[in-house]
Amino acid sequence: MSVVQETLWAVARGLPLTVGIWLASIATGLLAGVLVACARHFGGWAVNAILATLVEVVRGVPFVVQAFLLYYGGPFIGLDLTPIVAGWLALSVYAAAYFSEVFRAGFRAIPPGHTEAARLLGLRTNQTITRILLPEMALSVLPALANLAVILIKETAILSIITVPELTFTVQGVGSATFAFAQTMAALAISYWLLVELTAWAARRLERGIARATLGTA
Amino acid sequence: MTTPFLVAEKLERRVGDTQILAGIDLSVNKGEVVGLIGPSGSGKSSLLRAIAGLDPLTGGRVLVEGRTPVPGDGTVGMVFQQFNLWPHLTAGENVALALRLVRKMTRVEATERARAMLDRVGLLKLADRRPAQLSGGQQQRVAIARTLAMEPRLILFDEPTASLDPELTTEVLDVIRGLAETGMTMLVVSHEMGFVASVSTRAVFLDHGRVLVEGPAKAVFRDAEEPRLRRFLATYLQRVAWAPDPEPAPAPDPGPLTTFALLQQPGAAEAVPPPAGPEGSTMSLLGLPAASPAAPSGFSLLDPVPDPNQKDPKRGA
Repeated sequence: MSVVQETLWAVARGLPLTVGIWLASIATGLLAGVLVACARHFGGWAVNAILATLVEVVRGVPFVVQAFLLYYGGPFIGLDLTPIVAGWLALSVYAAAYFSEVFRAGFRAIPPGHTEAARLLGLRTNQTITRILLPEMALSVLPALANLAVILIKETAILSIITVPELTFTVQGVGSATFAFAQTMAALAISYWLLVELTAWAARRLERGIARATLGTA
Repeated sequence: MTTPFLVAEKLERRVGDTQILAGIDLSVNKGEVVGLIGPSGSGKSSLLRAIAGLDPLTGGRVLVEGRTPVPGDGTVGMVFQQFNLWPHLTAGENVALALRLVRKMTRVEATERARAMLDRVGLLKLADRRPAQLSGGQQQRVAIARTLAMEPRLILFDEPTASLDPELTTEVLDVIRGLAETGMTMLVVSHEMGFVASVSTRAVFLDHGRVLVEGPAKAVFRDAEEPRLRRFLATYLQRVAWAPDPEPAPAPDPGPLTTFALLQQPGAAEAVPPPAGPEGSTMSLLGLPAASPAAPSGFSLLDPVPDPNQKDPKRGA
């Protein structure tokens, strides 16, 4: 098998896991990020202070260190995770910290009167969040969320060092075995770049969809 | 004697060193329309927000029909200066949302009731528009419909026309006036003095978080003795007096108490002398003959309208 063939085969093997972990982390990260932002916005100063500290810690430590700590340090506190689960969890926490800040900005950008009107009409806080605040901010937070999604795609490469058999791991394996480092790295670069372009395209489609749903315009 | 519908006792609100409400007592009977006037920062809006339960009090209590209202319990409805419609929902959905989520109506029931409410404020045709596609006056009428749909016991209007131009103001005031005629109990904060004077059964003048003058609207606006209130009303009259004649001519009889009546005062549109000192009556401010010393110093806001044809044949035909 030629180097090119081997590289393409490695891309094909690694890509599904990269995309899978990435999408799973975005899903859990978004959910956790919304919950953190809600808790900080509505939960009073003590909750806000605790969560703010956690967000600062996650943002203040390089992702590669976090992934190492979770995978290799986890067993010391009874967290014996497989590489894939550890990778997904680490990336989710990392994503949640950044996503939560975007949603927090979204909450702050909505006039308090919109929440007060809902409150006086009898809507509960969770109804106000899901039916009014989140849809209202959807369009304005989308570019920032898409931006983070793009960054997260590239952070998945870090998971290769905790032996998650994702794109970088499989393609790098070919490079080590054949010494064709330049070719394999070029393949990696093109693969990630295509994923990022795909993400940007999807985000633009989503933006139009949300605009239609929330503004009644295309 | 029955207890009043709304009782506010010694309401106090302090934020840091600022006394926002400084011991306000107010009682309102069922069906009354109380106009709250006063300079900016006098506590009018804060009073409404305290009654609605939106802002915490540092003293005193609010009772509506004997109970302290909690936001969302259906007692108090509020209409805001900034409308506060939800921009991602259509007018109809803005009205229907709480009916579905709070009243547990089905989508069909809620939509039907929302349309009935929008019809009441004259906006049935615009039910599918989003707030951004409506004028300010239309948005405020949707907000009123949204409040009415939940059948509150009491409605608070917090400067409902302060961000509207005069034409849009009129359409919103007409809706509020119609509501007053149905016997709804209402508190209205507004700088539209003519409107407050005409729609209110009672007027309350606030300054620095206190009630300075309180009484029947006619007495407060016509027989104001309190110097701060006189100064406040005089400034307002002076500003209105500078306004040009409305064109085209207003309806023959818009009622004796509206702003139009004020504009029809003889001499009102002519040059206004500099503000009178504390002793000067507001009448002289408007270029009118001073009130006779025997009569209480008068306010033209409530004086009967002279026949416009007498002074100005162009008008009133």
